[in-house]
Amino acid sequence: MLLPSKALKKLNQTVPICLSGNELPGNCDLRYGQFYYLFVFNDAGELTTVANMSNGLTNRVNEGMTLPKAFVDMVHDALKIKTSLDDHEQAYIDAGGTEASHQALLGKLIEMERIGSMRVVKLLRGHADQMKSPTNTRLHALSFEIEAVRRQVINKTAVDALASSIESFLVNNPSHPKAKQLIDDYFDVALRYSFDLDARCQSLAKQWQPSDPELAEQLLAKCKRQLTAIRKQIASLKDDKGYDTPRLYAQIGSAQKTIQLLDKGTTLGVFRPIHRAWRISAEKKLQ
Amino acid sequence: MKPAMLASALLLFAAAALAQEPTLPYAIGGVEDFLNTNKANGTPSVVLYNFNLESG
Repeated sequence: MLLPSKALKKLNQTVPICLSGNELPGNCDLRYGQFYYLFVFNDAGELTTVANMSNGLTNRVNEGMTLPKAFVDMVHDALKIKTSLDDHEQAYIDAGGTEASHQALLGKLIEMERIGSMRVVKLLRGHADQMKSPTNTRLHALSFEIEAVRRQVINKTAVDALASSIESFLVNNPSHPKAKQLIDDYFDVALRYSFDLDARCQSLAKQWQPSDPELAEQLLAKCKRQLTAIRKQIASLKDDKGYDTPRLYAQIGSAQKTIQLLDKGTTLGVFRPIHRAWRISAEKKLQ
Repeated sequence: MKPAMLASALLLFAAAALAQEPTLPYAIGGVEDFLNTNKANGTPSVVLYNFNLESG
């Protein structure tokens, strides 16, 4: 509970405070659900910054402040930030998605620990066709989405959506200079919890082959490297009890072993939809 | 002590306790309304996400 200290009462006279529970303000997305975050809005109702409460308070307490004073200090520091995320979003649109406006928007998102990324992604995709380079704007949106998903609490819906976003960008821009990097991100982030990488990539490569044979080749080559690395990881395991072990077997498409490990283990929270999908795919493969 | 007297004493105690309960210096929940009100009043707002009275 946030104790109603004198410092807090005084602060609330100038800056109204709200405990939101799990209701996300500012049209922000769900990232990092397990942490406590401080959201600050200016007098026009625009989101100016977001800060991790635990880090902010711990740093200040370590400097010798009491907890109530640390909180007040954190709010005062946050109120010094005058430029809102809305300002940077508008600047990007007004500039037609130039690299400078992209860098400024990226800087703002990093300052906000990337909370609000998906709101920006949605905005950029909605305006891509009106920008100087629709492809660059779609790439900017995709990069923001990749970094948001890379850092977030595991969320199957978000991971699956990212896989579709990357596939769609690659199909529409097969020879883009960033294609190789995107394929790497595809495996590192979007396919991290996928069952049977080889089957998925073979199927995708078959679709890409007629129009984009080079891209299909790149995908299959990366898949091969990825599977080799996973098999090496499996070979180095001391036993099957590790937290990450079922994922490794799922990725190489070992249906029986995946089911066996899922039966033996406990599925918690965020993993439920992922484990359910592995089991369905594994059972289908065994039929 | 007779039951009636005991009940009266309890009621008095509860009333005193309620009268002393401090008003919390923050709102709880209803973020959109909270932000809209502050915007209309031209004041900044602070929202603590995930901070509820059960777990915070």
